[in-house]
Amino acid sequence: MSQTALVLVGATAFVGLMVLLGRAAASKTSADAESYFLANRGLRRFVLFAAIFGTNMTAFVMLGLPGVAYHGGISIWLMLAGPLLFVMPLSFYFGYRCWLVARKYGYVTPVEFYRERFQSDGLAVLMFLGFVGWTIPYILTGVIGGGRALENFTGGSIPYWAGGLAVTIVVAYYTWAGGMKGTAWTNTAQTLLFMAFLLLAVVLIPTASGGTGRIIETLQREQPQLLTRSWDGPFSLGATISQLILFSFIIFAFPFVWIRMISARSSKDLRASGIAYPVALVVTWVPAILLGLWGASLVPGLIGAEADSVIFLLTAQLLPDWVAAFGLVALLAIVMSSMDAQVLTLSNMLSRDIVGRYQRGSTPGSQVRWARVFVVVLLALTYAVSLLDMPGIFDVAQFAFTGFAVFYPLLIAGIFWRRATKWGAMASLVVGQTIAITGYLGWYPVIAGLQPVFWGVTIGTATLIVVSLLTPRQDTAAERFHAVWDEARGRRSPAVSRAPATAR
Amino acid sequence: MDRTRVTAASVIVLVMLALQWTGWLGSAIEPVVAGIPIQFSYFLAYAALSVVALWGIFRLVWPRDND
Repeated sequence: MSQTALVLVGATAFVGLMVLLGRAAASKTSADAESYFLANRGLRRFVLFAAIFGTNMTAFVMLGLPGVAYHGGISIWLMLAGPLLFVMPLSFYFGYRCWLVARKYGYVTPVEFYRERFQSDGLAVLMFLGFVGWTIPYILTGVIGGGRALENFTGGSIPYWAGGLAVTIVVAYYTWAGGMKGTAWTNTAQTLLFMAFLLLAVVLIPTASGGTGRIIETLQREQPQLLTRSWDGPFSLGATISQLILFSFIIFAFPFVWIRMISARSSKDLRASGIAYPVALVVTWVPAILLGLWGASLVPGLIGAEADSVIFLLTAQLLPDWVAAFGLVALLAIVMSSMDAQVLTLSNMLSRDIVGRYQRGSTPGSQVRWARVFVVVLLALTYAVSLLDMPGIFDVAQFAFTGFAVFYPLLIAGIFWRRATKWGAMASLVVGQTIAITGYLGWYPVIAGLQPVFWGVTIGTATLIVVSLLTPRQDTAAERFHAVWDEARGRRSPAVSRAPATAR
Repeated sequence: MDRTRVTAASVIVLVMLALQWTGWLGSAIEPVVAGIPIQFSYFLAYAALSVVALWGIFRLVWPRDND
C-alpha cells in the first residue's frame, strides 16, 4: 500500500472514531444547559485531565516547537520548563476556587462568574470582547493547519480547501451534537493519540539512525551552540522573565480551559489533574524538542519555517510508512483537541453572556439551541476566512497568549482579594490590553528584552491595585464569593450571604 | 494553623522558583550523559520534583473534604 493510501486510511479511521465518539456523547447529552455546556459538571479522572491538557496542547507542539529546537537547541526547554512544569499547574488551585463558587451559584462561563463577582455588566462586556478577540485567531490557525497537513501528507491528493473543510465538518459535528461531553471524550482519544505518536517517534528515530550518542556527537562537533543555554536574543534574561510571566497562569486565563476546570465532578479529580500535569508535559514537550534537536543533525540545512516540519521529515525519511500516516493522525488530533473546546466556549459565551443576558424570555433550553447554531455559524465563518490569504494570522495567534495573559490581574484578584473593585478590574483590563496591542504593533521599544506581556501584566496589576483602593468597596459582592471559600476551609465568614444564583 | 499552612506552601513555591533558575549552571557546552545534555536532564528531574511539590502545596492549601 502506498504512503498516500496509508495516510488516507489513517485519516478516515480517525475521522470515523471522532464521529462515533460524538454520536455516543450526543446520546448521553440532554438539551439543558448544564448537560450541554458542562457535561452536568461530571468530568472525571483521565477524561477531565485529557479535556484540559488536550485543549491546551496546540499544533505548536508538533510544528513550532521542534522548529525552535532545530534552530535554537535546548535553550527553549531550559527557558520554559520551569514555568510550564511547576508554576502553570498551580492554576488548578485557582480553578478549584472557581469550581466551588460556580457549582454553588450555577455559573457556566468566566464572563458570568466575574460579572457577578464584580457586579458589573461593563466589565463583562470588556471580558467577552477580549476573550472572543483572542480566541478567534486560534480557531483559524486550527483550520488552516488541518488543511495544510492533509494537503502535504497526501501529496496534494486532498487539496487545502478540502482538508480544511473536512476538519471543520468533523469538529462541527461532534461539538454540535455532544457539547462538552462530546469534546471531552474526543479529547481523551486525541490526547492519547498525539502522546503515543510523539513517544513512538522519539524511540524509533534514534534507533533507525544509529542511536542518540551518535546524533549528539555529531551535534557537539558541528553545531555545539545547540547544546548550550543561550542568554541572547529570544532567550535573553528579559525574554526569560517575560516568558515566565506569560506561561505562569496561562491555562487559567484561557476561557476554554477555565470552563473545563469547573466541569470537574469533584475537586479531588481536579487536584489530581494538576499534579499529573508536569508528567504529561514531559511526555509531549520533551519528545518534540528532542526530535527538533536531533533533526538538526539528521536533516541539516533547513531554513526558517522549513524546520517546523522536521518531525514529519524525519518520520518520512527514517521510519515505515505507517508511522508517517500515524503522524498525520496525531497532528489532526492535536489540532482538533484545541479547536473544539475553543468553538464550544465561544458558543457558550455568546449564548449565555449575550443571548441569555440580553434577550427577553431566554431559557436554558433556548440557550443550548442558540449555542448549537453558533457552533455551526462560527466554524462556517472561520472556514470561509481560512480560504483567504492571511500571512500574519499565525503571528496573531501566537501573540494571543499575551492578550490572555493581561487578564491575570483581574482573574486572580477576583478570587483572592476582597478589596478588588469593578473599576480596578476594568482599568486593569483596558490598560493591559492597550499595552499588549500597542506592543504587538511595535509602538514602543523593547527595553532590556522585556516583552509586552511583562509591561501589560505588571502595569495592569499596579493599575488594579491603585484604582481599587481609590474607588468604593464592593463588600457585599465580594463576600458572597469569599463566604463559599471560607466555608470550604471550615472558617466562618464575617458576613455570610446566601443570595441565590442570579445566573440564568 | 491556617497561616502556617500558607507559609509552608509559600516556602515550597519559592524554593521551586529558585530551582528553575539555571543561570548558575553557566553557559558552557553541555556534558552529555546517556545521549542527553545535563541541563536538559536537570529539568526532567525538576519535573519529578514538581509533581511532589504540587502534591505538597495542594495538600497544604486545598481542603480535602468538600467533594
